[in-house]
Parts: sequence; C-alpha cells; structure tokens
Amino acid sequence: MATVIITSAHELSATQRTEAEKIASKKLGHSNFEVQTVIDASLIGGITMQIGSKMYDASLRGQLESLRR
Amino acid sequence: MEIDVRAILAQMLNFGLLTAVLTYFLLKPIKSVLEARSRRIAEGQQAAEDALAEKAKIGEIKTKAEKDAKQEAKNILASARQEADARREELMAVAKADVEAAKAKMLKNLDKEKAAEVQVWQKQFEAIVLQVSEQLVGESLDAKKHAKLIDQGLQRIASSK
Repeated sequence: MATVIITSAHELSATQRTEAEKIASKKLGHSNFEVQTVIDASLIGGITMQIGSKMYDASLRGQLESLRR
Repeated sequence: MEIDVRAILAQMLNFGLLTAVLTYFLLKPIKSVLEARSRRIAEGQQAAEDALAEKAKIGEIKTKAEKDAKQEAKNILASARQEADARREELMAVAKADVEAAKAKMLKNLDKEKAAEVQVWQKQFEAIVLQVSEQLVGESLDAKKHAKLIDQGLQRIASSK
C-alpha cells in the first residue's frame, strides 16, 4: 500500500483533504493508499504532498527556497 | 818578279795545317763552351718562366683562398646572424606566451575570487531577504489566507506532472 503524506502550514478543511486525496489517487493511478497529514508552520503557507516516492512542493517556503536557488 | 810556287804551296799547306790545328784545339772547345752557355741561359730562362708561372699560380691560389675565406666568413656571419634572429624570435615568443599565460591565470584567479566574493554576498543577501520575507508573510497570514494558499497549492500539484 502506498503512503501519501500531506503537509500544510495550517489545518486542512474536509473539502481540501478530499481534493488532496483525489489528486493523490489520480497521480498514483489507484485508490489503495494511506494518508498522513502533518501541520508544519515552517512551510509558512501552502501545502506539500509526498505521493509515493515523488514530492510535490506548493508551499511558500518552497517558493522562497526556489528564489534563493 | 818570279812567283815561287813552292813557297805558295808551303804557305797554303801551312795555312791549312794552322786551320786544322785551330779548328781542332780552339774552335771545338769554344763552341762547346758557347753551347753550354746557351744551354744554361735557356735553362735559366725556362726556370725564370717556370718561377713566374708558379708565382702567378700561387697568386691565383692565394686570391682564390682569400675569396673563399671571405665568402665563408660572410656565410658564417650570415648564418650566425640568422640563428641569433631565430633564437631571439623563439625567446620572444616563449616570453610572450609566458606573459600571456601569467596574465590569463591572474585574470582567471581574479575572476574566481570576484565570483566567490559575489556568491558570498549574494547568499548573505538571499538569506536576509528570505528571513525578512518569512517573517513578514508569516505574520500577515490569517486562516482565510492559509486556506486560499492551500487551495492554490492543490491546484498547482494537480496540474503538475
């Protein structure tokens, strides 16, 4: 079973969680996965999703880091 | 006047004998002496001519040797000059290449140092900007803005590969 880790700076709403699960299902190509949610204030804002071995970063911290690079 | 035939004949005989004696004892040695003298003169002349020819020949050889020596000296000088010019050009080229290499190395080092210094300043500047941005953004986000950022993030993740 695959694991999906959803990290955000603020708690997700039920709608947002459902939407995140839909995205994970679409990316994996199946619905057989476990979801873990993490609150991390260091992200500043936005969300990151680790779907299987791939990391998707849509956080403000990530954007600032990419600016630094 | 009577002609004494016997006296005339005796005189003739006397003259003939004298001529024969003189021819035998005087003319032959004188002739041989003269011939020897002529021979010596001819030999002397020949020797003088030979000596003159030899002298002329030696003069020619000397002139030729002088000419050859001068030409050889000229050739040696030209060759030495040419060699010196080539050596000078070679040394100049080597020196020029060394100078260019040293210059390039110095410029490269300067560029490297400059780039390293710029990179350090850039990193410090980025760190400061990032720190200030984090602080400003973190302080200004409320629950609504967080929710909006999460929605936007989800859209971005959905559209990314």
